[in-house]
Amino acid sequence: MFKKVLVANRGEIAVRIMRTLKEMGISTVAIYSEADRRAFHVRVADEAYCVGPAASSESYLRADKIIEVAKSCGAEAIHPGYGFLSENSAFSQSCKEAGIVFIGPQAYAIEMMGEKTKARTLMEKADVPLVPGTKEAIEDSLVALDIAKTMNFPVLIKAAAGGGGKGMRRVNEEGEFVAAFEGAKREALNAFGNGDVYVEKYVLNPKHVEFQVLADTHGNVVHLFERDCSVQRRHQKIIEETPCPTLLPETRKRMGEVAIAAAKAVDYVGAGTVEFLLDVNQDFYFLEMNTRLQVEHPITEMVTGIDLVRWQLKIAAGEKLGFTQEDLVQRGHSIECRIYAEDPDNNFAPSPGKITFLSTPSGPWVRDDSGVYSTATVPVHYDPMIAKLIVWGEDREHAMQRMDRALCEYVVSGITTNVGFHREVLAHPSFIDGKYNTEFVPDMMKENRPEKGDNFDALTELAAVLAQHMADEKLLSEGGAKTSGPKKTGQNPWKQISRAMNLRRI
Amino acid sequence: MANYYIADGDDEKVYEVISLSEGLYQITNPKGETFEIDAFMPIEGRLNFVHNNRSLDFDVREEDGTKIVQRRGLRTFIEVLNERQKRMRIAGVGGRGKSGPDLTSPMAGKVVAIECAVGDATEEGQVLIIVEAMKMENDLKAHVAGKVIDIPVAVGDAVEVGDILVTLEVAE
Repeated sequence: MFKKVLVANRGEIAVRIMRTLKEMGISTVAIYSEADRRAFHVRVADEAYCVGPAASSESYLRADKIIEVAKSCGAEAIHPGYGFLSENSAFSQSCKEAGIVFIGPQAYAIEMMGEKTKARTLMEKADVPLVPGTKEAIEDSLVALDIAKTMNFPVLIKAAAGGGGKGMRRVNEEGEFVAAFEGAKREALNAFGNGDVYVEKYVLNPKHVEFQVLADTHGNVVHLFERDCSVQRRHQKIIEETPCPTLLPETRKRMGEVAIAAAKAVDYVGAGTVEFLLDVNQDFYFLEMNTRLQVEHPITEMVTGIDLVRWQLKIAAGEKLGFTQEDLVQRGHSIECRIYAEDPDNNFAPSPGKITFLSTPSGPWVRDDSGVYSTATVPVHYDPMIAKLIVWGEDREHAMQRMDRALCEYVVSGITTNVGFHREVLAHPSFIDGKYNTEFVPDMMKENRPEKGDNFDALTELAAVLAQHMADEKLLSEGGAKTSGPKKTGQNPWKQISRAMNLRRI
Repeated sequence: MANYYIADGDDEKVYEVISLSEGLYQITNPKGETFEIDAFMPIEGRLNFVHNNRSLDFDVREEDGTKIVQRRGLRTFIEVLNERQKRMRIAGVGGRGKSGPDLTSPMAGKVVAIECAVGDATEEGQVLIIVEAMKMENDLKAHVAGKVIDIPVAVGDAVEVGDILVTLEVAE
């Protein structure tokens, strides 16, 4: 096993990776930008090296500098985390050439999966289901109709030269098809001077369901079940859960097999995630493969009991997977809420700044993967995600109750976060019934926001008044001591305060 | 006894607070209900109180004169004025809205700095004098353009509400 590993990342994921490294007795090396000198990951690490100015392009993305640091400090491997250089095939290759182990797949897999068209072609060969569609333009509307029928309605007619919705028609049933097809062709011809259109299946209100895979260098590949990541705002995930509440056991089995096939098709090594769209008929379609550790990996860890980072390291060190597919079970239910420094009441605008106070939840089956601390500053230069709150419960209802309890304990002062928003989502009927899809949050934002309940306004007013009163008292007692010279001991401070109050008529 | 005011549309809500002993307060809310609350701050910014054996935990912090109160992950903004702050609000710090030429003190406090001299020409909004109250410095500004005729106070003087601080002659 490695003795020293450099973590080429920042924030919560750098801290989370370092925690596992420490458990394994491996020395931890942090890199940081000039803006991150006081960041949590720098405090947690055994060694820390500044790699440049605040801008990511001049620090966290400087592959050359990072490899140089790794070489000079004697780190044998680099863990890229997620984002930054994690899916950069050139970086993976440069590490290899510098004699440093890149904890992730080989450059080839990153490259193949990184480009949509290459990935599509490769996946098709591996019999991985893709969103059905014609690859070439179709001239005849009746030929197109026959193809459309095989895909099941609704379908989407798209202009080959398309853009901006021109030449695009959603067709819900057979009877509408021919007219829509001719219309789309005319529209495309007028708009682009090119009437070529093709037909694609329209995946209706899909769930975003992904499968975690682990592959070692000895040809063993397993999947660690799914994660439902359909709670998204502006195409960014905010809550993930596992198991997916609507996934049927037979579909799970098929999706797991497909995920393994996808990984094998690129000779995948390490931890990766195969993303799918899942429709209401339990049909699923390959979206893409993320060739790295995923933000939401902890919920998989919670239900499987497998530390994914630990296995990333073992695999990178050449070890064989210590378990087979049959050994893996999904136990109970896990939910993750991403804590963002952003304002849900202001279109989720980022809210960087100083965290004046932080108190994180704890107690039974609660995990807080944080990248900040009380008095830390959330810089403007990077992602606004400051932490992830993960809980485990015996079943889904239990996990939801536990998450709400944990969110109630979460206190972040000084900046605005989405903690309260998570409580709203958790209490929403569409979330509770589990059938929500990727349009859930946008739809929810159009509704009237719920009352805060629990006599919230009266109680918070009382708290504000009491806080003001206590602060005034404190100032008066300090002021009183000042004007009356050195503070006399042995006097009842309450008498002093009441005297001061009477004198000042306050 | 102290009163606290929270704006409620055009109206205002009044809370009356009496300190009974350390950590024990008698409160009369805007509905006229009177009750006792046992409250303490474990650290600055955190408030716990027990009311009718109900324990309630809050985060209360002030920013730009507004209290930010958080409870169970939910947040609200409340502006609470004590009596002095309310008087200041009515008087208008810096003589806003006043018609007379003299600058008078809108609060009881101590003069900590004088930023003008007799004979100076002043512009509207120019800081003339700084009065400290409740450890907060308040910039008192000229509400008209003119000339400083007299400064009847000196640094270190205690001043009451309404005391003349600077006499001005209005520019023609």
